[in-house]
Amino acid sequence: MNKLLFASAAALLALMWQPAPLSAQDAYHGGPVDARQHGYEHGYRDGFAFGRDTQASNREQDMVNQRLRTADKDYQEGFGSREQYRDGYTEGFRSGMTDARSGNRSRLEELFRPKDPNYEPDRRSRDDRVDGIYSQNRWPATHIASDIGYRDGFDAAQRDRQQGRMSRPRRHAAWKNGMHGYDNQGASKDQYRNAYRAAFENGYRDGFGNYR
Amino acid sequence: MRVRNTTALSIIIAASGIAQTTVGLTNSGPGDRFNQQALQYREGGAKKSGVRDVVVYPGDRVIAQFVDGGSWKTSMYFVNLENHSVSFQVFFFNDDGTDMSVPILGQGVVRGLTVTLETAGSVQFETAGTAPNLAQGWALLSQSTNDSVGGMAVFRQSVPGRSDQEAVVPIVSQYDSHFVLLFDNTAFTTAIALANPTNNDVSIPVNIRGQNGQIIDQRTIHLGPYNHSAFTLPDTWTSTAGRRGAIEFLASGSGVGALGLRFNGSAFTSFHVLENLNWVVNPPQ
Repeated sequence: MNKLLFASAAALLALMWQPAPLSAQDAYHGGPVDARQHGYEHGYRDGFAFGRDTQASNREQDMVNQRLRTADKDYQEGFGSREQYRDGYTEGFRSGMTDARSGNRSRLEELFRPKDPNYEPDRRSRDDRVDGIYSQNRWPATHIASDIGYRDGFDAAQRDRQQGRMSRPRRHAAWKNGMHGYDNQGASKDQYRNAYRAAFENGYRDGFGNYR
Repeated sequence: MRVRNTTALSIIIAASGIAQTTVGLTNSGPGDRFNQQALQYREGGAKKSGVRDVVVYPGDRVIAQFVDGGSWKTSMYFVNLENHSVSFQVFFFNDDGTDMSVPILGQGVVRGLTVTLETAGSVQFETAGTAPNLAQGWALLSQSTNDSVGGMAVFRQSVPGRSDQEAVVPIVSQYDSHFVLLFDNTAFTTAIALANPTNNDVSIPVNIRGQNGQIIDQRTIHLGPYNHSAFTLPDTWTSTAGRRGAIEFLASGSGVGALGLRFNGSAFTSFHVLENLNWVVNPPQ
């Protein structure tokens, strides 16, 4: 009886020591499907890039206003609510721009690095079935490629930096393959690969660069 | 600062040199209900019909001439034409596109204003006009939304011993194609003000035409991003001296805001440029 209790307690402890399970959204390799958060992430990236390249003159402030007038220019019906996407983009843009101009540590890593520590974009044997969520939501294929590619590039760059490697985005298996998330719908393989690779390089630059 | 038609007002002078103002109607009553109905009628009527009978468009954002000092001052008026609160900014620029510091009564020296207006709210600002030397540039109504905000600027010259002279500077769009400015330099002097409200260099070929339509001169205007230029025609384009006619601007792509000014001794007035002409385009060689 004691042995049984001990075994049960050990099993319970083992369960308790398991890493916290990833939420469904964390597992998607192209980021959240919530319209507001999706808009926020795109806005943050754009705002951070804008902020680190500009000063807060009237001219730049007007350019910000013009940019935010078209905060929903990349919106697609599949993203969900247009208003939420626009609001999220605007909030993210302002937040990213403020971080860049204030010299704050960027939130790019927090937003774009995969939450799963075991995820490696170069590993072919990973399970990508979760990424079908995007095409099920009717996201355009090239947008899926861009969102997944950016994250994969960001993650690859951070791994390279941590391991003291040179910047080499095009030597990564993920870049060479360029098909992560492709499901034979909405775009040709070449179109998908081109969008993925361009985004991978952007993400790699942000992940490897000094903008952290 | 003078503020009219308001029941709530708060002003914050921002450390950044951008003054912030909120104006709103906070009381509700029969009059407000009538106004709401009128606004809803407008919303459902002309604004959404696509007919070009609405005077304010989101692209109407350029105050092509802005002056202060040397006996001159400028007033600005803005009104919220939406049925919800709107926020916008007004930026002041020097000729070279850098920030222009402007003394605004009640606000101090600022390089811009951030304004929030509730439905039907309006506001007026005025420059101090006390500087001994004239400073000129242009101003921009800048918004991150497509809300309709109307307004105008009025500049005034005050010289002791004679009545003040005033002229309206309308808030205009950026003309991105073909537009025309009439001129009359016979008994008068015509001036032009141009502002480039974009982040691109703009080059505009110009045909100067006499009254019978023939081209008597050709020029090209270059304006850098957010740059401004204002000049009297007979001094700069001498071919217009002593003549009347029309100046044809062959803008393409990124546009400019433009305004004409006619001086008659100490009196002056302003006038719009004209668009949508059907002349055959004949750019300078």
